[in-house]
Order: sequence, then C-alpha cells, then structure tokens
Amino acid sequence: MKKKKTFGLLLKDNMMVLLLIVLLAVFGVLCPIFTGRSFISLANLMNVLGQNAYLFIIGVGITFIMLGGAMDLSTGFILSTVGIVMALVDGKVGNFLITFIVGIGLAIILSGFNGVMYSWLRVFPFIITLGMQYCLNGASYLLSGGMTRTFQGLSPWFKTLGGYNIKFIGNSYLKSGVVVAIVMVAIGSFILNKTYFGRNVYALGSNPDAVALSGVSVAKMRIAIFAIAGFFFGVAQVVNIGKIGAVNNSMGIGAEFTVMAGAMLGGIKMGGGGGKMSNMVIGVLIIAVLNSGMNFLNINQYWQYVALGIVLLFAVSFDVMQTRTAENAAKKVMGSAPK
Amino acid sequence: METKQPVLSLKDIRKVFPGVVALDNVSIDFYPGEVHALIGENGAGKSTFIKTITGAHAPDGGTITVEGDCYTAMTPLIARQHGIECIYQEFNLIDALSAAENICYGQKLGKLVNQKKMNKIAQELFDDFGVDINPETPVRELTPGHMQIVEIAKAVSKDAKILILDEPTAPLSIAEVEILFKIVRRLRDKGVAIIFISHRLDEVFELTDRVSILRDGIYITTLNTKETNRAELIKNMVGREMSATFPPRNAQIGDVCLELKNLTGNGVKNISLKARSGEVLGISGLVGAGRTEIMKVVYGAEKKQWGEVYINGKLANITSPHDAMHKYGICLIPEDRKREGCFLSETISWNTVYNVLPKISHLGVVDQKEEGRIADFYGKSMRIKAPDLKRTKVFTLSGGNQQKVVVAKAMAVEADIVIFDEPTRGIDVGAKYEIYELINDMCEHGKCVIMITSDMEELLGMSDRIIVFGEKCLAGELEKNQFSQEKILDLASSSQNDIGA
Repeated sequence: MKKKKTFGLLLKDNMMVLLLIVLLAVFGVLCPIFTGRSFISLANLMNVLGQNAYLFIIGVGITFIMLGGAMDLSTGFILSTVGIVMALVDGKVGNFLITFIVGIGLAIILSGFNGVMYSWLRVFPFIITLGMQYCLNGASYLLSGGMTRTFQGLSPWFKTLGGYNIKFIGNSYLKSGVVVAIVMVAIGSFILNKTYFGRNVYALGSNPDAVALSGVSVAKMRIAIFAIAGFFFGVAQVVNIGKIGAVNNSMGIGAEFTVMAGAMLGGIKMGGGGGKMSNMVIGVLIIAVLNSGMNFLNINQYWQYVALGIVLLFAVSFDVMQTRTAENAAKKVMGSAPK
Repeated sequence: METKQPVLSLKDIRKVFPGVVALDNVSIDFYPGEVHALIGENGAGKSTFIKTITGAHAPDGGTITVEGDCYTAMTPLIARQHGIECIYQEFNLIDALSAAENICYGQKLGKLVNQKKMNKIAQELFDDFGVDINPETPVRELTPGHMQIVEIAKAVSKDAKILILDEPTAPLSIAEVEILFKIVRRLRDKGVAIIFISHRLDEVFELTDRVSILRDGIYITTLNTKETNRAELIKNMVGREMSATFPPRNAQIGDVCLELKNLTGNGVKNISLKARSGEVLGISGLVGAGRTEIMKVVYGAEKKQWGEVYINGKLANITSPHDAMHKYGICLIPEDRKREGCFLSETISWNTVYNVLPKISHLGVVDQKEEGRIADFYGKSMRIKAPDLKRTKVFTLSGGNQQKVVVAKAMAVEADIVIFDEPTRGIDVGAKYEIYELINDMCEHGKCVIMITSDMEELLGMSDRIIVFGEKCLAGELEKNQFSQEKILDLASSSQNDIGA
C-alpha cells in the first residue's frame, strides 16, 4: 500500500518528464514508419537541441520574471530590436566585444525599463509589456530603415557562440549554442537556489506583502528581476543570430509565447510562487520535441498550432486539478463522523 | 409592542466551528417597527448570528421563524424572499454603475434596461429619505455616507422587512451619522424591523428601542433601552469567566526601551506611550481602533506624519521595516499571518531565515549550513511540529504551527522589541499556551513585548500594563492593579467626541 503511494507521488511530480518520454516514444515509432528516417537518433536529438538552444536561454529570463509574480509580452521584440542594433553596431564598429556589450546592455536596459514602469505604476505587467511590445516593434523597423532588412556577413564570433558544430559521439554534432544554454541555465539555477537574491525572487512571487514587511524593497527587486531577465534575453539573441548566421527584424518575435507556454507546461506557476529552472527546461523540451517531431512527419504548420494548444490546455488542467486536490486534502479533517 | 407578533424569531440557535462554540442556544425575537441593537465584545458571536439570519451559515441546531415560516436553516435566497437585507461594513456596490443602477441591480424592470424608470425609482427613494443625491452619479464618486444611503435604498427598494446594519456608522462623519439615524427612524416608523450592530454605546442609546447582549456565543439578555444604562450594558457584555490559565512569568521589568511621543500617521493621531524591557504591554481596543495601524508606523511600514519614536532614550529615525529590524531591533509579527507573515509555499527553514539572509550570506550566496543551524535552533525552541524543517512547506502545517513559524522568522532577527499582533488568533488552546510560554521566555530574556489583542482573557492574563485605544486615538492606560474588563470596555467604546483630543 505504502509503496503504491510513493509511486503515485513520483508519477505526479514527474508527470511532465513522463509526457516528454511518451512524446519521444510516439515520434520514435511514427517517424520511421512514415518517413523511413529515425527520429530518436542521437544526431537528430542533438539537432533539436541546437535549433532550440536560444529558447532555453530566454526561458531562464522568463523563469525569473514568472517566479517573481510577473509576466513579459515584450521579450520577442526586445530580441528583435537588440538583434538589429547589434547588426548595425557590428557593421559600423566591427569589434565583436563592443557589439556584444552594446547588445546585452540594451537588452538589460529595455527589460529593466519594464521593471521600472512596473514598480512605478504597480499595475500588472501585462499592459506595460504590451506597450513595450508596440514601441519596440516600431523601433526595430525604424532602426532598419523602415523596412524588413536582413543583415549578413556578421562577426564570426556570433557563429562561434551559437552555431558552431562541435564533433560529438558518432555522426552527431553539439552546437555551441547548446553549451551556452547549459551555462546560462546553470547560472540561473545557481542564482535562484543558492543566493539571497534568488530567495527574494521566490518570496516576491509568493507573498509581496510579507516581502515589504520584511524590509526588502519590492520596487528594487522587481526592477532587478527584469534587468537580469534582460541579460538572458540579450545572450539568447546572440546565440540565435549565431545559429541562423544573419539578422532580420522578425527574429525572436513570438518566442515569448513558446517559452511562457513551455515554462507553464513544465510547472512554473503563473503569478509566481513555485517552480524550478528544471521545470522550464522540461517544458521547453516538450514543445521543442513536439514541434520538430511534427516537422519531421511533415505535418501542416496549422495542425502544429492546434497540437501545441491542446498540450498547453492539458497541462493547465493538470496543474489546476493537482492544486485543487491538494487544497481539498488540506481541508480534510482526521477521524470519522460521530454516531 | 409586546402584543405584536415577532417578524423574525430565532430559537435555540447553535453553531459550532472546529474548536469553538460560536453560538450556544441563542434565542432572540425581532418585532416590526423596532430598532434592535445587538452588542457584544469582539468575538461574542454577533457576526455568526447575523450570518445565520442571512443564510450565509447553516446553524447546527435551533429554528428560525420568519413571518410565520419555520426553518432549520436559511439560505440567501429564502432570506431575500422574506425581505431580509443586510448592509455590511464593506459596501457591496458596483463602483462603475450609477446610484440608480445599483439600487435597481438584480430587479427586472421590463425586458430592456430602463434608465428613466431606474432614475425615477432612485429619486423617489432619495426624496423619501430627504437626501440630495443625483441618481445618475457613479457610485465611486459618492462619499462613504452617500454610498451607505444607496445601500439602504437598494435594500428598501427590494421591500426589506428586516434590515440588518452591521456597524453602519464606522465609516461615517458625525453629520452623516445624523442623516443615517433619520433614515433608520423613518424606516422603523414604516414597520421595518431593524437590527443594529454597533460598538458605540451612545449610539445604541440614541437610536434603539431594545438591546440584546451576546457574550462568548451565549445570549445574555435583552433590555429595553430606555430602562437601562451604560454601566449595566458593559457589565453584561463583560462578566466573562476567566477560565484560561496562563504560564507564570519571572521577568525583571527594566528601563523604558520604547517611547512614542505624539506619534501620528496611518490615520491614527497623537499616540504617546512607554514600553519597558521585560514587560508585556497589552494593547486593547476595538477592531479598527488604530492599534495595528500605529504599530505599522513604529515599524516603518507606514509613513509617519509627525511625532517621535525613542529607542532606549534615543531619538530613532525609522523609515523602513529594514531600519526597524536591523538598526533598532524592532520586529513585528503581523496579525494576518497568511497575508503578511509568511511564505506559505516555501519550507519552514526557508521562512525562518528569511529576515536574516543578508547576515548568513557570503557574497550573496546563502550559507545553507548556517540556515540549517538557525532553523534547527528555532524549530526546537519553538517546538514546531513538522516532519522535516527543510522539506515541510508551511501551508501543510496547522494554524498553531504556522504561527510558530512566523514567530521563529521574527525571532531570528534577535530583536529587543517584539510587537505581537493578535498572537493567538485562530489557533487551538494547546498551541496558545505554548505561544504564551514563548512570550514569557522573551520577557525573561529582557525583551519588551507589545501585544495587540482582541482576546480579553489573554489581555488581562498576560499583560503587565494595558493601553486602551479609542477610535484612532489613545483612550487610556491601566496599571495591573486597575485591570478590569468593565474599565477596558468603557474606555474602548467611548466615541471620539467623548474622549476629546
């Protein structure tokens, strides 16, 4: 009896890992049947990781924002603007270090500005980051001369950081972007789990009133969280540019929804107060596998949206059910009814 | 009046909550055309009684007879059908809609929204009340007094036969109170039964015909207002048996360590008091009298308007809770532990060290060994019952153990002045005793404990001195040999104009 219970708990805690394994198994069986090529070969899986490396780095930033009880709709447009600016600076100056510093700095400033507005106005960041989204959408095109423009011939360092293929086992390659993503996830986890600042991120998402009464400045914390997220957004765009080898205005746009969906799927609570970096990683992995698996099977893009939506709704219902069960269990009184 | 049939009659109403008997066989009759006051201390069972009438709570025993129909429990729908309307302290209006729309909300006036008809209904009611409110004004632009009149108009337009007013005068100015009373009297003359709950005894004498007294969930008596006096009411409201025992304390009372001089802010005016090391200073007063509010000013969580705070004789400039805790050694254990006190979704040790994180961090990295040590120390000394301090999340704990976590979190700061807001609210008897022992322990270690409490037994049993708050100001101070329930209640229930400035 007891053993069964622990197994149940294990299953509950790792539901999303299970979902990932199921997805891999499904594609593993279906792909060879329909296309004659294997989906779960090391080469292909490494490729899936390499294509999506930048999403994990964005995910680190989004995780900070979500754990702190906020959200960000402007991420994709921060990426796009930062990309254009880096391409322009790279073309003018030709020094990667300067380009890098300007790009990351701009990402920190733009995202940090979201944090400043959030702290100042104290309204839910939905509207603030939506405003930012519009501004940056315009700014990105204004910077590229009022039209969609593709910049090529960028500094080779971009490729080194994002798109360089390192020989791995057999005929598989490890993309340099994956290494950067692993480092970023590690840094993010370290900050969240081990530092004073990380504690405050959780505290803020869990109970901002108690944070204020404990003498920690809620406003400063919020600005810092958005600024740190900005750093990760900047790095993500560098990796993304390296992978593609060029910059244009639409690069990065829409990534915020993929990543937020992934984070929620993995178990990061909307509105803050719970979740780990590993949850985000699992969630984004699920979405990455789902997308590339369906691509592999040549499934129409629109069906892919439908599938993604269904998975997300499933994850939300699962999470809500779990919370409700826990709440109901907490309300239960020990003992039996009096006769 | 006695020849009339009661419109509402409650008989042997009993309601039990886990661990408390909230109402114990209460029987009261209410007659049409009378204003009936319901009084009692904090926690006497008034709210539960009202909720039984409106159908928010189902009683565990007894019957409710309304207009001749007998029920064992009301539902909000049945209550409404019998014309029972309750106006709570928090207004139940829709801010964005006009006064008229609010009044007619939920009533069918034909198939479509009929603005003209609504305005006409509202205007007639306001004319009848003799008040000048434009029915088209959005509610959010009205004063609290006018909002309340809209609430009453809403109830009257639904043909209320029994109108319950739960502390209606609390948010009103003196002029607005006059208007309210005029309206209440007019409704009474029309045959409405009015149940009037108030902490202000002078209002009870001014407005009501009869007065019923509850104490600890027990019905004490009903008196004709004309034939009684303030002292008799107070005697009936208190007179409770002191049954709880309190652990003995051997603390040396030392020098004044906290002094407030004319401290003003957060809506509370000119508070001066002294607290000594090793003593428990009890702070009493009705809910909303400004006890918590002024302590938040002391703690730096709310802005000070004027006045001074002295710590150990030195003028202190406390501008944030951070200053209070780390510079001046003051900690505050808030009354609402779930909202302000702790992080429910985190573990016990996580919560315990939260306030001292800067001290146990090196270059921003938390020393987890030190965290374990501190959590262990306080977990043991507070006797927090949990399987694993590092793993157990706070929301899984009982109320008493949650409170201990909040206390541990505050104690970890090692402050000398501890402000305890409602230390034992919502926790069971055994855990209460343990909290009292903790308080004693703090005093024996020379700390100064300021205890805000609405629990009369706790106040009398634990305090060395008692400060009583009136409405947003100081009403009086009692030394141990002057302690009496009557005196405290008398001070607390006098209204602002009685006390003066």
